[in-house]
Amino acid sequence: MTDELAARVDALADEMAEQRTALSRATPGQTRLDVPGRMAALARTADTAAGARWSGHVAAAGGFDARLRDLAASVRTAGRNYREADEHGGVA
Amino acid sequence: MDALSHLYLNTAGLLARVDDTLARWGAPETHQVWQLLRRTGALPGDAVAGLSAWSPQPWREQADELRRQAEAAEAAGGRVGDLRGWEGPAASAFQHTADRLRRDVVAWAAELRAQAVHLDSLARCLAAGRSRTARALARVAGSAEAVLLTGAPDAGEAAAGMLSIAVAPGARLPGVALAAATGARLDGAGPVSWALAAADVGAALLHEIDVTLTELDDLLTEGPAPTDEPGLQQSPVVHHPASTTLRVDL
Repeated sequence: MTDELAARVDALADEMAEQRTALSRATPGQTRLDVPGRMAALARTADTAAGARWSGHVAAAGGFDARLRDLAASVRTAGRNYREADEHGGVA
Repeated sequence: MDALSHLYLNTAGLLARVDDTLARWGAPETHQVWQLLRRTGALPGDAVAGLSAWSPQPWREQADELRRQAEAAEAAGGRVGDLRGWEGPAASAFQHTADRLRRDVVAWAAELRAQAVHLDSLARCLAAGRSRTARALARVAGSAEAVLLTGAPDAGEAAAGMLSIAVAPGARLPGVALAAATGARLDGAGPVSWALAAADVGAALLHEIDVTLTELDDLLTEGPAPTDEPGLQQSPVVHHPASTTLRVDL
């Protein structure tokens, strides 16, 4: 039961890792405008804001991946402990 | 290639002449072009060139990517919600952690969608501004002011990129009153009328660009709409090792 559950959690972690990779690959580039003044400043502002939010999404996907991996590991630990307890006939 | 890109290629000579004339002869002291020059920080030709080079397509593509990722995150969040543990205290801790993860993933998906909507708004705003500026460029390219500037000194160099146009003698751009106010005549070639013509053409173009930049500025200041989903707003995505919260209590 716990092994199967851990495998499902790992599979979800794999999906999050894929999302992280896809987002990272699609990170917006810089707008290159050869123009002085407010237009260039706005393009830079837009680039900075989009880049920061995009980095946040990459980090979020990475964070979910890590949380799911930890959850899977904890489920496996729980399963191991249950089995050990069963084998030894009581609390270790 | 949209209307602005196409028109820009065909009016580069006129725009260069407008910029050169403004730089050389200036404009009447009270002309609105001064305020627009200050607000945009660029000469009309430079500003049109910049807008022509600024494509909304990257924003559209980013929005599409974010929507794809939001869809994937929503599906993953649903599967996290389907995870069910076993009986006992450790199972309860697992369920608590899984539920929190599901909420956070769903909230993240909402943020992805909100940013996609924002990028769509920016793209629409820029595309609309490009269209308005293209229409203004078409109007000024066919105006008496353009004809007058064509005839200004060094016109041979600048006229190479101009549109072929035909206008009624003495015609003026709609809404332009300064030439009449100062007594200058568009059919009287000379620095005053050249400067007025360049100022009028410049103001017509910079007005549209200024409106576009102001709308973009407002959208950027506003940012993506806040999401109502609980989770990320209240608890930012921080990696807490689950092993510290999932106690195995046998």
